[in-house]
Order: sequence, then C-alpha cells, then structure tokens
Amino acid sequence: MTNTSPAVSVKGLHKSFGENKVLRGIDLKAQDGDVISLIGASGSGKSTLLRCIPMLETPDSGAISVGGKHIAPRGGKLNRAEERTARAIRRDLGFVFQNFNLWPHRTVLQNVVEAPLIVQRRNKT
Amino acid sequence: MDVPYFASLFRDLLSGLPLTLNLAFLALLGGFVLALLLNLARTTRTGTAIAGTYVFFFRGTPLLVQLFMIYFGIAQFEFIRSSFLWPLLREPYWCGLIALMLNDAAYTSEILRGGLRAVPRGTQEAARVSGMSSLQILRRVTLPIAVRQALPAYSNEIISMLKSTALVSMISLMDVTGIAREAVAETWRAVEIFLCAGLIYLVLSLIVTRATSRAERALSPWQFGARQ
Repeated sequence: MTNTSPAVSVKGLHKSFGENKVLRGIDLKAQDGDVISLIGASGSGKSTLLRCIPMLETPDSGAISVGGKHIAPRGGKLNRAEERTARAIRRDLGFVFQNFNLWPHRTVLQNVVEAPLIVQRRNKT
Repeated sequence: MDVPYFASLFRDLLSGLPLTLNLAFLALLGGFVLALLLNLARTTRTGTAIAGTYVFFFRGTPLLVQLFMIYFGIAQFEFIRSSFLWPLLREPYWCGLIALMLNDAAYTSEILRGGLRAVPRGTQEAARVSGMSSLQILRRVTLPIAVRQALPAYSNEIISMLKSTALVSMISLMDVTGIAREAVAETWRAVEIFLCAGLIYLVLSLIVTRATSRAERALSPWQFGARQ
C-alpha cells in the first residue's frame, strides 16, 4: 500500500482574501477509502480549503491533484488550459455544500441526475 | 343597437389582427434576443456602459418619437437610401417592427437583469462543481431560474407590447387600430369603433395573462405539491 498515489493531494496551498491570509501552506493527502474530518473554529478556513480543491476559489499558490490530474494555479482567473483541467477534476469529484445549493427549477430527481446525465454523458438507466 | 353594423365592424377590425399579432410576436422575439445580448454585454465595464446608455435612450423617449425617428428620420440620410437596407427601411412595416423591437429590448433587458441578479449564487457554484461549462451553466441553470423569476414582470411587458403595436397605425400601417382609425374617418362613429377595437385588445391581453400564469406554474416544480 506504500506506492499507491493518493486519490486527492494538496501541496503547499496558499489562499488569502485581501489582507486576510486564510490558508498558509496546507498539505493534505487522501488515499482511496480514507474518511477525513477537517476540524477547526468558525472562519479558520475549512470551507476555503474544500472550495479550493474543485477551484471554486482559485488558490494563490500550491498544487492540487485529483485522480491523476494536476493543477497548480497562481491566483486570479484560470487560463483556458487550467479551466479545462479544473472541469475534468470537478467531473470526478462530488461536493456537498453547507446549504445544499439545490436547483429550485428542477425536481428532486432532476437535481440528482443532472450532473451524471449532462456532464458525464451517461444515459438514462 | 345596430347589430349588423357591429358584426361587419368586427369583421373589418379582425382583418387587422394578423398584422397586430405578427408585429407583437416578432418584436417580442427580437427584443428578447437583443435583451439577452445586452445582459451578456453587462459582464464587462464597457458593455455595461453601452447597455446602460441604450436603455437610457430607448426607455427614456416615447415609442411614438422613436417610430417617427426611424420612419421619417432615417430616410434623410443619402447613404441609407443608397444602401442595401433601403428596400427594407422604406417599408413602414419594417420601420414599425424595428422601432417596437428596439424599444422592447430596452425594457426586457431590465426585466431580465432583475431576474438574473436574483439567481442564487449557490446554484451556479453547484453547477460549476458538477463540471458544467460556462455555457452549460447559463443555459441549464442561470437562464431558466432567471426567466422564471422575471416572468411575472415580463408578462406585463408582453401585454404592454401588444398594445404598443397600435402606434404603428401612425405610420400608415393597417393593424387593428389603423383600420379603426380609417373607419372613424369614413363614418364618424368613433365611440362604437374604438370600443370594438378596445375589446379586441382586451381579449388578447386576457389570453396572454392566462398563458403566462400557466407558464409560471409549469416552470415551478417546487409548487407541484401545492397545486392539489
């Protein structure tokens, strides 16, 4: 089990909002099957760390890899190639928001099947 | 009550209905597309300035003035009379349609802007983490929610547009109002004639009201349970 590459890894992640440095060099590795809890006071950056992994926030520096896809953004907007990698990463990730963020114009079933159907182009079975 | 007269009057007025509906439908369609483009332009700073100026002028001046400017004003320019657009722009129909469309776009873009701004940010983030492209997010999440939220205000605009088409009778088009005006000039029975014309518009707006409230319900899956 020593030479399996981690499913999700984060290296030297930095993110600040203005003057406020939220993440200062976070390293994290998650193997297949790991269950990991992030614990911290409110405002300590748990959500920011999570939001950085699918690039909902662009980190200022650091590297992220998910399922063998690597991305190392340098703050600001993602360029075209990075945006493509980010989309590939998002396809492989599941993400549950604190307040769910369901799509109100869709039914429950449609909310569930939208991503597999539209993004991963699986058929309806 | 002169029943035969009213019957023949209605028949006359209804012959203008196709033109009224044609103008209203195409103006709303073109206006909506233009309004969408105006809202997409608002993502940049110059685009915002352009869209703002456009709305300022077309919402700030009377539709009748815009109609006259396009019908009488544009023809003054030699380069337009010699351009390929002239066969269109000398027709009152196209001038009327363009004026209605441009005017509608200004109002619709503001209605749509309200709808877009009320789309919860989280729904777009959810779409992004599920791996959708910006275009997919716009088409599958942002626009449907925005349109649903803008619908009550937009039904106002549809009705208002339907009635605004009456102004094209000022540039010699024979819509319902155009025919009514001509009939008044011939018979001087202004009250009866305009009463009938008004009734036709009233029925049209009733149909629009019904249709939009039905569309509102169809686009609100969160209300499906509450319907029974």
